[in-house]
Amino acid sequence: MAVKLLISATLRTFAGRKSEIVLEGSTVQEVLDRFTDEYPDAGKALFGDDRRLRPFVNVYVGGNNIDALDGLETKLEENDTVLLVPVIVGGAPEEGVISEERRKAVTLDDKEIDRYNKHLMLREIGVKGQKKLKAAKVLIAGLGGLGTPLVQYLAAAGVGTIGIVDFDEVSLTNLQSQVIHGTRDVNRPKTASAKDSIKAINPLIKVETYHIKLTEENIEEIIEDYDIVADATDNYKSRYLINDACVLLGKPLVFGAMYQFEGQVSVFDARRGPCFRCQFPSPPPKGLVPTCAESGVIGTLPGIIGSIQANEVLKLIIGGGESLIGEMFLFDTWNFTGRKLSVAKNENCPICGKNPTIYKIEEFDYEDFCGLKEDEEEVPVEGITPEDLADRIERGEPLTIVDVREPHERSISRFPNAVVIPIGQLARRQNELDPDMDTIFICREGKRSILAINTLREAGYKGPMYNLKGGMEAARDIIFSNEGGWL
Amino acid sequence: MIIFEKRFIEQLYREAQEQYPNECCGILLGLAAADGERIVLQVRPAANMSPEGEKQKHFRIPSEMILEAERSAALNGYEIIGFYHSHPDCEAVPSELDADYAIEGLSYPIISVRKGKVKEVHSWEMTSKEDDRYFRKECIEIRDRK
Repeated sequence: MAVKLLISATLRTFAGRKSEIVLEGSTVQEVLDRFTDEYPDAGKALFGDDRRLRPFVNVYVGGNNIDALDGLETKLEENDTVLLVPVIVGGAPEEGVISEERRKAVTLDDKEIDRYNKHLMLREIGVKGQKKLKAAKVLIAGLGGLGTPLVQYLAAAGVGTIGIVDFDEVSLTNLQSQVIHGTRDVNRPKTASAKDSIKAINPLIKVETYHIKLTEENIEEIIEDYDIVADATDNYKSRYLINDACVLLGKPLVFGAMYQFEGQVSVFDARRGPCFRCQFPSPPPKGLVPTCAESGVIGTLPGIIGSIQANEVLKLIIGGGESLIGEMFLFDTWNFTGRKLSVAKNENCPICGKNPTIYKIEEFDYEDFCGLKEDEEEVPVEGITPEDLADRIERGEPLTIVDVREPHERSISRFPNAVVIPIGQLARRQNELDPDMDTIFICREGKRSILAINTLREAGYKGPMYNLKGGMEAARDIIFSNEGGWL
Repeated sequence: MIIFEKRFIEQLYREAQEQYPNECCGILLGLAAADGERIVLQVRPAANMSPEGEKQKHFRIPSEMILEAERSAALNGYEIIGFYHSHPDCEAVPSELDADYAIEGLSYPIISVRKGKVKEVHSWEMTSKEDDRYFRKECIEIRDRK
């Protein structure tokens, strides 16, 4: 049967500039087949390689879009009109961190094509994405638990240049979760051990090592060369320092943190969303939130959280997908719950807000901000060395020993004859202490015990108080060398 | 090549800034010469019909609007010579989606707006070679009104 094909003016160039053509056909498909037979240009312009209509072509039959009818199989009757008209849709491309120029400057050889084959198969990555990965430079700050999967997956994925920073050496306690380091790496710099791991996984990766502590003086110089920074550190000073340097230098920051069974990940990029300071304007009081070294962590958690960080890094490089900018992902492995919180940009943020007050890293006092400095106005806390304490215990001097550690810490190493009072209860329970007797406060590292002494002082306790310097860590070989019963 | 009178290109800039952080979009009416030169004689802004929440990254000009523009253009002896849109905080380079929906032989000016200010504009023409369709950057000429 004969139907009338009406063609939108924008598509007429492909139909000999005709606005309407009469064609035979009983379905839309048949009419379009006739049309493209007669006008091969239209076939190329309006249909893709798969012979399907390109997305911009809408087909209407008697005023209804065929998508709402039976599609190309829609039946036609004599004198029906079929209308071809475009719809225009578009959008901004996802900008990865690697410019087109840099991407084009790298090539992949046959071995690389083999190695990264499974990336090349993904439409979202492909050759373009893999070249971006090769051109990319990522700095991993911290080579502990979170740094482990970051190092492994970024190296395996083919991130061309990986910088690794850590001032520490591998210790036996690290090996429970930091699987890039092996037993024979104990006492080696973590950077050296991590470099070996990267080279073993993927010798094509260029590795830059920085066996130093990140400081106000060196941070900008170090991160300047990198496209993305992954924060895998475990302390607030580093986090603020890294955040501020990233904001000032305009780098995206992939943040991760953990506590026992819970982890959190976010992407901070002040140019496109909030920064770390927007979410955490100030650190918690000194000694309140313990690091993993103090509180413990399940060995698999850094593997999970660090892998999510690595995944965010890859997406930032490749461009596309949904990134965690403006959001924070929280995961609790023990109860198996996960959720995403939105993180808002703080207009009053001192570094990325409307009226910033931090312009230079060197001019901001991170030690003071994070409460790491001894307060000059505060009465200094008197300390006692483990050796002196051991002597006094040995001589049988009357002493009160107060253990402010958490129950799980005490279960590893008990301090004999100590009174157990958590910091939160000290002020309330001060009458349990004898103000005429010397009182020694102990914790794991000798930091929370200072907080305990200051808390009691503020609460009006007048008796003599001493802090066990270096805490149980320092005391274990001196006071308890003969005890043997560590656990 | 696409030719704009100064006031028309300025209209595009203004709209891109006003719609920021959303994408602006619209239809260009005018005349097309056989050698591929297109001259803009009217700018028809279109409401961005993308769903709420997606307008910062996407735009949509539905078929009805295009048909209406065609009819009004025909009354003046004009035709649709292109579609413009803005890229908020993103370069003036077409995305894959832009390419999927582009019609051969028309101009697609893209205005890059960074932090609410127009940064640059590039115009793209969809062309094809054998079976390959691709965007080619085209020259923009801006003329003072005569």
